[in-house]
Amino acid sequence: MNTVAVYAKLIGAQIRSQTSYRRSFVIDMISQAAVTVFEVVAIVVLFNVTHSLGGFSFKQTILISGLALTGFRIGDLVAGGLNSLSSYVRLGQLDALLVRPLSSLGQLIVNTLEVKVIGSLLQAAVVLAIALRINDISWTPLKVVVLIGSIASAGVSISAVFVAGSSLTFWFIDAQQVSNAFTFGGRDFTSYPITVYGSAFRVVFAYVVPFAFVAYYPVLTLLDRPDPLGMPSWFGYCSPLAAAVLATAAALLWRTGIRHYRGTGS
Amino acid sequence: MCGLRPVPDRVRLARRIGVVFGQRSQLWWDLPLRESFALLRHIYRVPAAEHAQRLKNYVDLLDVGPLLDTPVRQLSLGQRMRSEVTAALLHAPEVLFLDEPTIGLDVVSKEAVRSALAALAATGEVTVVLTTHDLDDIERLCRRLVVIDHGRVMHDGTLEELHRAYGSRRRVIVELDGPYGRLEVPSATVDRIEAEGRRQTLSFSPSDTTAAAVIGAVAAAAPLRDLQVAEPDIDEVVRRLYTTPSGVPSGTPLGESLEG
Repeated sequence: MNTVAVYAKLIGAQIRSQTSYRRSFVIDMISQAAVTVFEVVAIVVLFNVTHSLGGFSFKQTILISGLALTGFRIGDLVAGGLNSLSSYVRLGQLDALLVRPLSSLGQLIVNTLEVKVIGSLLQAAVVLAIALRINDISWTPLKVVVLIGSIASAGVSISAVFVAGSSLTFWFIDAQQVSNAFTFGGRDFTSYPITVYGSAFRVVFAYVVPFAFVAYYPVLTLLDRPDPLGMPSWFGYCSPLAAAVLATAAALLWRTGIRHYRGTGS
Repeated sequence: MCGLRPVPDRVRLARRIGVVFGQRSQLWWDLPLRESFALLRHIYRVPAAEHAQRLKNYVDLLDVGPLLDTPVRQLSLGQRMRSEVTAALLHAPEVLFLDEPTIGLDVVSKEAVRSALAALAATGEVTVVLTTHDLDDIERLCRRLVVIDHGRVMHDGTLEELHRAYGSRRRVIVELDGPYGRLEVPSATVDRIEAEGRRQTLSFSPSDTTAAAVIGAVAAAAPLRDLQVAEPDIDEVVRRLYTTPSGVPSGTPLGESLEG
C-alpha cells in the first residue's frame, strides 16, 4: 500500500463525511458556484464603461480571468481549507495529526478538504471554456500543451500561496489577514492584464511573486500577442517554472513553521 | 524517546507510539467507528490479518463491539474514549500515551475507562503513560508516579514513596459504645471528635507506629464497637506538595530526569 493509496482512502472518507449531510452539501455547492458568477460580472461591468483594459479587449480579459479563476479554484480546492489552520492550532487538533506517521501538510490538506469548492471550480472552467471559444486562437499542439500546463501550474501556484500564507500561523496565530492579501488578493491580481497596474506594484506582484505567470503570459502565448511590457515571448512557457519556485518556497516555509510549532498547551 | 528524536524523526516515532487525547478526537466524526479503524490500518500500514486479530482482541478487552456501526458523533464521551484507546492500539505501539483520559466523564464511564486501562496494563503488551488531574486514576492505575509542577519534577517514584516522602498520615476512625472523653494513644493524635466522643478520628505516621498498635491501645482503653482504617488521602499529599513554599524550585528540570 503506497502513500498515494493511503491518501486516496483518506480523501474518500472526507468526501463521505461531507456528503453525509446531503441537503446542506447541495446548498453549499450551489452557493459556492454563485461566487464565480460575481467575479465575472465585475469584468462585464468594467467593460460597460471602457472598450479596452490596459490595451486588452473584453474577450482577451475574460480569457485571462477564466484561466486565473480556474487556477484559483483548483488551488482553493486543494489547499483553501488550510485557512482553518489557526483553529487547528488553537484547539490543539494539530497535535492529533502530528502523532500519525504521515506528512503534517498532507493530512491537513485532506482533513480540511472542502468538496463543495468543486461547484465553483466547474463554473470557472465553464468561463474558461467560453473564453477560449470566443477568442480567435490559431491552435497548435504546442498551444494545447501550454494551456494544460498553465492550468496545472496556476493550480500549483495558488495552492503554494495558500500553504505559504497558512504557514505564518505557526509564528502569528492571527495571520489570516496577511494570508488573505496574497490568496484572494492574488486571485484579483491575476484576473486582469498586468498592464493595468502601477509599475512598482507590478514588479512586486507580477515578478517577485510570480503572479504574471499564472494567467497573463500563457494567454499572450495562446493569442500570439507580444508583451506590451516588452518581455520576451518565451515567458509564456515559464508558468511551470514559476509554479515550481512558489511551491518550493511554500514547502520550505511550511517545514520551518511546523518545526517552530510548540503547541498551545491547551 | 524509543531512541528517536521527536521532531526530526516524527514519522518513524509515530508508528511506535499510540496517543489518546482526552479532548480531541482521533476518529472520523461523521463515519461509523468501524471505518475509523479501517482508515487507521491504512495510515499505519498494518497488514490486514494482523489488524483483524488485534481489533478482535481490543474490541473485546475495551468492550467497543456494540459501537462499531455507530457514527462517532453519536457516541457518548465514555464510549468515545474507549474507542479512542482501541484506535490508538491497533498498530501495536510500544508506548500508549493518554492525555486526561477520564476528563469530563461521569462516574460510571470513568470506572469503565479505568478498568479497561487496568486490564490493558495487565496484559503487559504496552507501556501505559497517562497525564491526569484525577487522583483516583493514579491510585487505581499507576505503579510509577511523576508529579510535575511548572515544568519541574517534584516527585518520581511509587505512590507509597510519595506518601513516605511527604509524611502522609494514616487514619483510624473508631466508634465507641457511649460517650467518651478524648482518647490517649501513644504516637497517634486525635484529629476529630464527633457525637460526644462516640466517634473519634486518630491519625499516625506509619514510621512511628502501626494500625494494629493504635487499635489495640484504643480497645484496651475504651469500649470499641466498630473501626475503619483509611489509607492516606492522595489529594491531601498532592495539595501539600504543590503548596510547599519553594522560593528556589527544588525539582529537577523536566527532560533531564525522565529518561529510561
